[in-house]
Amino acid sequence: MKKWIIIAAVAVVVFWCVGIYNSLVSKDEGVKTAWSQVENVYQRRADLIPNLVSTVKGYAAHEKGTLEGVMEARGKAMGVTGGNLSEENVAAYGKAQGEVSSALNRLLMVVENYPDLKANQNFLDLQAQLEGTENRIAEARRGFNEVAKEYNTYMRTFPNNIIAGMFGFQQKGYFEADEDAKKAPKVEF
Amino acid sequence: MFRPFLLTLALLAALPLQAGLFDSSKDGLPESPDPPRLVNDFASVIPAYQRDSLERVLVAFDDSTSNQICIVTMPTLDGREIVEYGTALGNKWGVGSKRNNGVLILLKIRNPQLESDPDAKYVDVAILPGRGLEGAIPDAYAARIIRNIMGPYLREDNYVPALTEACAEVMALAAGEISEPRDGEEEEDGWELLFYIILIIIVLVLITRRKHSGGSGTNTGSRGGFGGPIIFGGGGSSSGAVLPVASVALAAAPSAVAAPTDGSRPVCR
Repeated sequence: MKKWIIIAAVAVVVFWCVGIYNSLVSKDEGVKTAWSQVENVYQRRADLIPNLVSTVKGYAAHEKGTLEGVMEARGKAMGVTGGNLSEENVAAYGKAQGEVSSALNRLLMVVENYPDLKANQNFLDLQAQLEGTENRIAEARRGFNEVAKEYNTYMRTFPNNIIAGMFGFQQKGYFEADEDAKKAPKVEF
Repeated sequence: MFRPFLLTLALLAALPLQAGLFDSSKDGLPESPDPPRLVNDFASVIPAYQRDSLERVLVAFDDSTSNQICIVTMPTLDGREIVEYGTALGNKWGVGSKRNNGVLILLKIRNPQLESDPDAKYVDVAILPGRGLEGAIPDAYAARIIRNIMGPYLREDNYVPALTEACAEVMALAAGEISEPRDGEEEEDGWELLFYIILIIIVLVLITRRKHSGGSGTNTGSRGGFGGPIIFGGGGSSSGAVLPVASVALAAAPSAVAAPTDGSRPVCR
């Protein structure tokens, strides 16, 4: 009789652990999906940059420093990946992309001095695409932070943390509030 | 915490007709209209007869192509970024169907009397297509519609033609991408329903056949309130029904916006 009670108890504990493990896996997948969305929109921005730079070059060739700054920041950011999404990795990724943002902001500020460029349809389209992409980036970052927070909270709660520790689940990092993401300048209608 | 609530009160006082649509819930967004409407003139800038005709055009467009275009005018956004506001609003209301084929046209009017709003002197407008229509209405096109078609009217605070003409253009673009009659979806639901009915009948037959074994607790086969989306559909599951797009930029000369070359361009005036 006693034997059966022990077996039953062990079975309950095992099933319970399996449940927690499975939840951890599915939440981890959720975080990965949200991250791929983040990478996706940043890639989209990276794809726009060469086009933008070459368009600006046609009108403002002697702003070489600014243009090269953008390409350089882009190149550096392309080399940074999220890896295992640990706090350091996410922070490093955010920083590299933040540098692209500031380089782009500098470029768009320079553009203000070239009215011909600002009236160019191609440039206006690129600018609109860039703005749309920045909006999507903000959205993707928000989404990632949300699921990462959910995962972290679940993972660190007792007794889930025991299972998480046993199977090597790591805490995920968050994106910091993006101070470089300045608001689009207001255009008076 | 205190200020938004006061602001809400001020809005309620200013718009007695729309009272109750504004809530002081934490997201600070208006509740989705009940009964559902596609033209939501919270800023009271569209005369009633024009609002009704615009609504009819949009409902007809929704019926024939399943693309939902939703117009929202606001007196103020409480200083929030228009794209962020519009995205949250579109997602909250679930503009569009399961394919995320909704478009939200959000217009914040110039409202210089409203001192609580830092952006009161500006008109702000955003065209926000759902994910399913991003291909049909890319950012550059949305920006062109705003810049070239709406811009000249908005500069003169002439909101109604700005909205109707933008609508016509958005419809022309959207119709090319997803175009299937509304009842296509309903038919699917119908088959599903039929399936469940047959299933229930089979189960009932089985139960009555073995009366002796005492068919315990009848399993009610009803699926909790399905009621296909009529105006505002969209599963609440997807967190990105509407995606941010164009904000505002101005150019001098209005130039033609690239429109698809199919002849079936809906009219919206």
